[in-house]
Amino acid sequence: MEPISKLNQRPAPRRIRRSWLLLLCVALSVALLYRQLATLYARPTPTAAPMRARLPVDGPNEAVIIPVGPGFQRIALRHGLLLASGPDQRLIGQQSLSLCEQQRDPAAATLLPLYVGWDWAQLREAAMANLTAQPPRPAHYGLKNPLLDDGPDGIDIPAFQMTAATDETALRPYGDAEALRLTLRDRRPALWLADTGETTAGPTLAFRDDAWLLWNGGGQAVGDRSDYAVRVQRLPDRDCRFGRLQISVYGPPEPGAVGADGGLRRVLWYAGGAMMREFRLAPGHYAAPVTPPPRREDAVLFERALAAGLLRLGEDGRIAIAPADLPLMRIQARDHPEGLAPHETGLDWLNGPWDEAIRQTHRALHFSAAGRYVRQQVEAFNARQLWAAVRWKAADADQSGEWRADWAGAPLALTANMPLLAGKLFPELPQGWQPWRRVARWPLLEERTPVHFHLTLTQPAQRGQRLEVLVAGGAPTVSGATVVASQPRCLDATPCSARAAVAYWLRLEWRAGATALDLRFMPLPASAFPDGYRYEFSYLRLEDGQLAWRDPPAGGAGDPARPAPAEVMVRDRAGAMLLEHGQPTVAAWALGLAALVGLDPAQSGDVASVLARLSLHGASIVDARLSVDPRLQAAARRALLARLPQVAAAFGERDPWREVRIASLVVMDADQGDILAVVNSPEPPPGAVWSDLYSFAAGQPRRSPLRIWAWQHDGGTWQAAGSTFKLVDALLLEREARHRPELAAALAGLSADEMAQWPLAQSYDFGADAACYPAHASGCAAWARQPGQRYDRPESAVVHNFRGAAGAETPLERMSRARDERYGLAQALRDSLNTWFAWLVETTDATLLDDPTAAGLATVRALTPNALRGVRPLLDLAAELGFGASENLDGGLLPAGLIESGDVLQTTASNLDPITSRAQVRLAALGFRMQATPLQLAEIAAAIASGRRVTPRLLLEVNGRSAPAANGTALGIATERIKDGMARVALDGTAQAAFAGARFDAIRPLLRVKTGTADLDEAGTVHNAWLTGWLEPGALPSESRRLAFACLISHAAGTGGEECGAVVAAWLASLAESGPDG
Amino acid sequence: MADGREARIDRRWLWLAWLLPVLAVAWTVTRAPAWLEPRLLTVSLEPGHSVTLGREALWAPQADSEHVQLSRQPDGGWRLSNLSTSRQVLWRPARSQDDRSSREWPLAPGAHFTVGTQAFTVLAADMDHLTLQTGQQRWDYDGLRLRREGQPLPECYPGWRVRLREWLGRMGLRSWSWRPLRLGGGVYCADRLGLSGVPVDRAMITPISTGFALRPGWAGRPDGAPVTLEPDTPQAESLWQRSIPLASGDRLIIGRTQYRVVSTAPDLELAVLARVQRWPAGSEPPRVSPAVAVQWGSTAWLWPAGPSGWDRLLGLVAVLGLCGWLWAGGRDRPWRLGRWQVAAALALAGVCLGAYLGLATVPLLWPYGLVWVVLGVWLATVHSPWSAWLLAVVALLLGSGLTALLQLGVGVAESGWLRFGSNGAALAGGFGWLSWGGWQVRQWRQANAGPLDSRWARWSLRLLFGAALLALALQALFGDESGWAGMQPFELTKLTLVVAAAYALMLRARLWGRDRSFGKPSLWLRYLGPLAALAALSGFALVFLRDFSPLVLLLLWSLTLALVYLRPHPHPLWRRLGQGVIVALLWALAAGVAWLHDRPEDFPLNFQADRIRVWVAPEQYPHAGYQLRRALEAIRAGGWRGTVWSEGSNGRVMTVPALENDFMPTFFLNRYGGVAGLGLVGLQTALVAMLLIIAGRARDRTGCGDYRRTAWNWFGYFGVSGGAALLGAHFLVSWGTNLGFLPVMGQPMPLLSAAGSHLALFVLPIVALAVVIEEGHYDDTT
Repeated sequence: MEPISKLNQRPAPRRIRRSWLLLLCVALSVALLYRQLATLYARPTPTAAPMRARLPVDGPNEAVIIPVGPGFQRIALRHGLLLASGPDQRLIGQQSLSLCEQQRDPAAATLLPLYVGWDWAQLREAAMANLTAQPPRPAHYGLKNPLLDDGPDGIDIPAFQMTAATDETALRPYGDAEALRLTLRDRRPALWLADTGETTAGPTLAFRDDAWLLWNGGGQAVGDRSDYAVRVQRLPDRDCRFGRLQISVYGPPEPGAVGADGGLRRVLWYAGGAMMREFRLAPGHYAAPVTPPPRREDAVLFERALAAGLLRLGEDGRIAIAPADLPLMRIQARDHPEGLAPHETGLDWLNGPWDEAIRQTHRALHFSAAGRYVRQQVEAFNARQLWAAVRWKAADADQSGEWRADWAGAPLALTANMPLLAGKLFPELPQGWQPWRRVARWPLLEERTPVHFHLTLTQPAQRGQRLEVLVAGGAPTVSGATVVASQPRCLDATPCSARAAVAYWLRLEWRAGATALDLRFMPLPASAFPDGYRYEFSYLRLEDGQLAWRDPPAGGAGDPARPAPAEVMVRDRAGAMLLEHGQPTVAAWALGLAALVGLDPAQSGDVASVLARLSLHGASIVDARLSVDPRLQAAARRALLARLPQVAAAFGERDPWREVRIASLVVMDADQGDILAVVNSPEPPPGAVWSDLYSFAAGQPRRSPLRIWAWQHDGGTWQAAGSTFKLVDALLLEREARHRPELAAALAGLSADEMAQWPLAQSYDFGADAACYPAHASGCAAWARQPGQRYDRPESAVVHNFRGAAGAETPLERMSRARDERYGLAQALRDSLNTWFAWLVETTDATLLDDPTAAGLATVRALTPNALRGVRPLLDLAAELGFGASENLDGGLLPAGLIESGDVLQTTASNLDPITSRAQVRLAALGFRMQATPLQLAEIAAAIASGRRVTPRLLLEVNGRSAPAANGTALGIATERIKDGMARVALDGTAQAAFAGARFDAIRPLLRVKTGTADLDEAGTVHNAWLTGWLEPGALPSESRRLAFACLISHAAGTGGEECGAVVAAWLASLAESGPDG
Repeated sequence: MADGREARIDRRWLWLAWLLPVLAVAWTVTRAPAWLEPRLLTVSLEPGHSVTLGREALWAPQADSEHVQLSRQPDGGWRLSNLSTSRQVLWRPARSQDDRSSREWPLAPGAHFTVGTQAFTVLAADMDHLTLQTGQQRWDYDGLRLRREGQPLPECYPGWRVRLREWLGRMGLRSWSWRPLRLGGGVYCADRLGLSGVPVDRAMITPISTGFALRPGWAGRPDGAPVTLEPDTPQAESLWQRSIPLASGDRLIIGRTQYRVVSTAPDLELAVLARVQRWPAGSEPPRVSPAVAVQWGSTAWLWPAGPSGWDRLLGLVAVLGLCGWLWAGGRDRPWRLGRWQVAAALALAGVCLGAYLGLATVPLLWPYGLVWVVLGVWLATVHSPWSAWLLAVVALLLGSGLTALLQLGVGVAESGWLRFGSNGAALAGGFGWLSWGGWQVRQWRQANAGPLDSRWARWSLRLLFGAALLALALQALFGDESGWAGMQPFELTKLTLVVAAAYALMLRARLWGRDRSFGKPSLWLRYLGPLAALAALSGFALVFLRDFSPLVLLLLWSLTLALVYLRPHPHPLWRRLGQGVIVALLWALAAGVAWLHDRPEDFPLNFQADRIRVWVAPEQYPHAGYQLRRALEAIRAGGWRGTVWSEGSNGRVMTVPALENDFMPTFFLNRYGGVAGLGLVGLQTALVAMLLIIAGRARDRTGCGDYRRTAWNWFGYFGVSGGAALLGAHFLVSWGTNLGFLPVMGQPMPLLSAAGSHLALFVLPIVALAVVIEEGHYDDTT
């Protein structure tokens, strides 16, 4: 043993420089942290989309290369094939065709061949061959609904035909996996791909629902890459059990197109037997997918709990959760059965399986963060399985109260949130109603008992005071007040029966001194409000009767990098503020522009919300000026709104069209395109609650006060332009007359005798002494003079002139009444003579093959934009005038892409329905089978007035930058006869009565108008009343602009001249009287 | 061993280190967004009317949007009821000391209530006994156990806690053994009364100082099974809609915001006491509710906002000052100035403690100022350059922490975040002034009486041990994982463990080579004492906290301490082999962590397996991994430069849970950037290394001088080394948690996180021990 002293006196420690050691430690730790942080900073953030090196899990199970560059690439796989299309591949044209329309024999359900990819010359050649065949056949024999391309000078699709397996094969309903056959009829190299996984360069291919034809422009051979493609899809159709075909043509990107989706390519995978899958992949090498990534903890827990029986779907649609003390209950049941509390017989949790794994799942379900989340989702799911809500409106504005609710004694939490569908429960926009009180959560009670709503008034009611209550639920029992009236309310059914009712409207009367009201009613099951909730954003869903946990789409919380919306101020043309601090000003309300500029920050698509997006381009404040002239706007609004009560009164006390009537008056500067006034009805009433407005507009879109009907329509059948469309006819005829002398002569005017002898009229059976066309159609003369008969039945090819009190008039009668020596375009416009326009427009349509007695090739359809150019010139001209395309009204002031579909700064395209028969050509000429907006018609009027077509604009100035002066494009059509005719409309034509007074003496010579009256019902008792035209400068004091306008009042009893004529007359008179200062 | 080089150290560098945090705090204050704080809410209401108020109108950031309903009675009085489904309203009547739920209903004999469909009648209710009648059954409850028809029901979950409660009850500590009676569920047992159709914990009966009260249970919700008071009477009301009368002097906590009722007539005036929503001073605050008017004030940086509570604070200051005066004042005390110094130090410690305890709302910067002054005083007091440098490093680290905590508070609209920095500064200041006062007295006493004797040391140790165990027991009984009564007793236990181990190893080291026989059982028992404490601690952590993070700390500490023990071991075999084994173990530990990251499914401990899986793949665990994912996002967002230079407010980093504590490094990295983080980790390493150096210097002195100084130096060596090891483990675990290279472990980062107990009960005592050891050593050699 060593002596102690030596032990404790160890040798002197080595002279390590402690400071250096310290510094070394510090440096080491700093280096380690540096490495850790550098790794962390270099790691991409999880939110960024990674470039996947592996194919998606539901993709093909082998490695592939997604090529770079534009075009279509076929990628052959061991099983099936991939079709990759380059970014920004352009959709050139698309047509949809019901297979029911293509049947040869509806009884046998056999299919006529569908020809795709011929041009008009080829089709016409085939028709001629039919005519010269022996024995002769009709021109359209076997040529139903051919889909044409542009031909060699444009997009030239390799011609092919689609047939059933054989001519005699009967079509089977959609979904029966029936094969259709595609046969190439073109010598150019092309490649077929089908959803069966087959691919061939040969002429024939069978497909089920989806096939592609790939080819290259210039006739180059198709390797694995091609420039162009046609896709043929068979899709389900509501009206045809065989489904419909959708044929789409794709071509190379527009020059200078920028990849909108980051260069990702659309990849379709046809695996043969399985359904097609679509992916978005970046170009590159991809390995086969790995096993699916582990699911999120909440999904796993939910599925485990469901499998373990800890979550059970009840008969009432709600999910029961195993009690939190179930483990203890099981222990007690085993060790101390007497220690179990009596429990309900409904759900016996003690008899299910139980082991350590289930115990752990139970613990996680009740005592972990994921479990809490799962239970919250279950509660949210359960809360949606029952419905009960009330809303009330006191007759006395001072009366207020508070609702409470309970269910079998359990107090219920109430919320003001209701699904948008609730907007359908009100026939009118609710005003003065208190917010909804809906049961937000339902406790898990076993028995279904009525829910009890209790209203406590802050002050006792007086005897006889009334209130209205809307109850969403079963028929209520009321105590505390007397029921004066009750009415069931439905979401869709009209009339609403108690059986279909999901709500009840009650009018109640208070008893003297009453302070409380009690309502008891049964809650409704979730099925009563179909789609009442947006389940796509909830985790729990019921799919085929089974509960499933689905991850909702990401990004619901919004992009954190997106800047806050800009602060927006909107002014009128004169600089007066229309919107500030997110609210419309008093001036905006007074001018009826509140919905246009923005009613509420929550509104989307209004001017303010579009301008607020400028924050994406760095603007934090936006000060914008609209083109609306407050003087014109105020006068226009007064004139239109003043007329509407008379329009309604014409139908008597119970106006049946009150709920669907819209009206609009739009005024634009014909030369600059500035929209100077835009009046809409219905307007949002001042003081309406935004949520009510929104819900009402969503539930009843036709009555939406948020839609700018002047240039937005709902795509329905109530937007026919009627005779105002004859302005398009007139322009068409003027243009056609340049190369058709006989037509030019007809437009210049024919005498009565000439008209009777006119070869063109004779060949087309146009009779100067007939009120209908064709003049000798069966029974024409007899029935055309009977009031109450309609003439625009699609199945009827006959049209007749407008019926006055004495019935329809013939051209000769019109000439005689107006003392016309010759009758031409100006007179036809003055009289709005249907037979004259139908006849002459019909002569312009080459698909009818100049043979008025035969069907011609009217079923022909344009698959590419220029396929029918020159063949059906009405369509060409309509497209040139703006039909078929929406327009942005920003005057070019906003960055590209800022305006989105549905915004008020974008018009809804006016459209012509497809024309597939001679009758439809005639109806189109008369303004039927189309959806037109007042602004579109005002644009046409402006184009005739100025000889140039300008794009309308609503924005004049944004943050000090003014919209550039409008140049427009020259129309290139003689318009003098049209102007003359429109002047006659106001002088002695269809609008004569409206502008007859002496106060219009100064205005009338400078006024050019065209009326329109489009029947909206079978009996011809309700119309769209239209008036469009312009006023030359100088007619109004200090008004130097040429004012083009269009007025629409839907569902009117009177004609366009009577209804809209009165509106425009009142507007002009008001402007004339008020002078320049308003 | 102070060489001349060390002695010639230029202290200007130390003062610069001391000054830097002052500049940082000043910079933070000047750049802080200007806030307006609600000081007084005035609610005006006509009699008979009521108003619903919530988060916006009450400026209570943690409240619901519709949280309370205030009603004006026809007689002009005010009543308040809680409308929130999930959050409480706490109410402390003017002359009461207890916060109680506004939904609490004291039970009195004859009272009736129903839970679900079950009707209860209170037959008897006194201080320690409650009798209920349901149908034909009678239930008795004494605060601990339920009896049915007089027969005690079995324990729901039998275990040591129940036995401990019963034992406490038998010892007369009845209030320590109380537990609530839980109503609902499917089981009758000692603290549960099952009810058909009512889920467990829908309501509960809790013992209160005056008897028993019915209140909503932990799973209670207003729209659940109804709990009705006095049913079928005109006074019938739901427990959830129960209202309380308000009187002047009452305190309310709505959400987390505290108010005091100043007056009830003509209007209701509520003074806002704490944790209020602030408003940017640049714009006019909105008037949310027409019924509520708000009186605004600005942040009180240096001058008090009002006179509230100053009498209590001054009282504490006076008492402590007087104690200091008496303590330092012996008749034979040769100097007078020192007496004033001690009294002043204790008085200033009183200010700090008063600020910490919230006796008065002191201006925001006072605690920061007080702690910095005492750090300066300490810097001026110490002689050894090593302790001076140690204090300088502590000053820099504490300064970084307090600056970050101050930024945490000033960068958000909710005022409550300010308390973390203030409380930390106040605690550190209190510790500094108290220890400085003690140091002054010790200097004088030591000069007269010499070193302390072993008996004093043993008793001090026992006292510390007892206090730590008692605190742990209290936490086990009444607290939870987050501590008890606002403190974390585990920190004191860690200090005790460090001290006890140092004491045992000191004993062992003194006898190296002399105790090869096992014939001295008492000695071995003393050696085993710390091991027993270690086992107790580990068991506590595992059994009670169900948390393995303390075990990780203790493991690292044990291994380091073993290394420290073996390093001076006289026997070369022990020394070399032992150190080799320990180093190998440490390597194995690191390799094990890496292995675990690759194969989390192989983790043997079932109850922590989730935590491991979350650590490996946080993206699959949106709930359990939320904290880590958010933290990593925030760190990435900070980058190397940090966000504080460009953005005055804290932003999205505030959404990281436990930001002020476990995830304070995340805040630091987000706001000040990775470069500042590198500086921070350098300082932390320097702190640990300096502690180890000081410990090494103490070891160098063993064997010199008398046996008491040798023992003291061994104790210092082991104690400071152990403390340094534990601190190092804390730093490692905290960085690992925040940066994701270790599983999330709820451990604060020393001198950065807002962890008052950790700071005052562990970190600062270790630093103080090192300073005392080093100063004594330096005194010896100079």
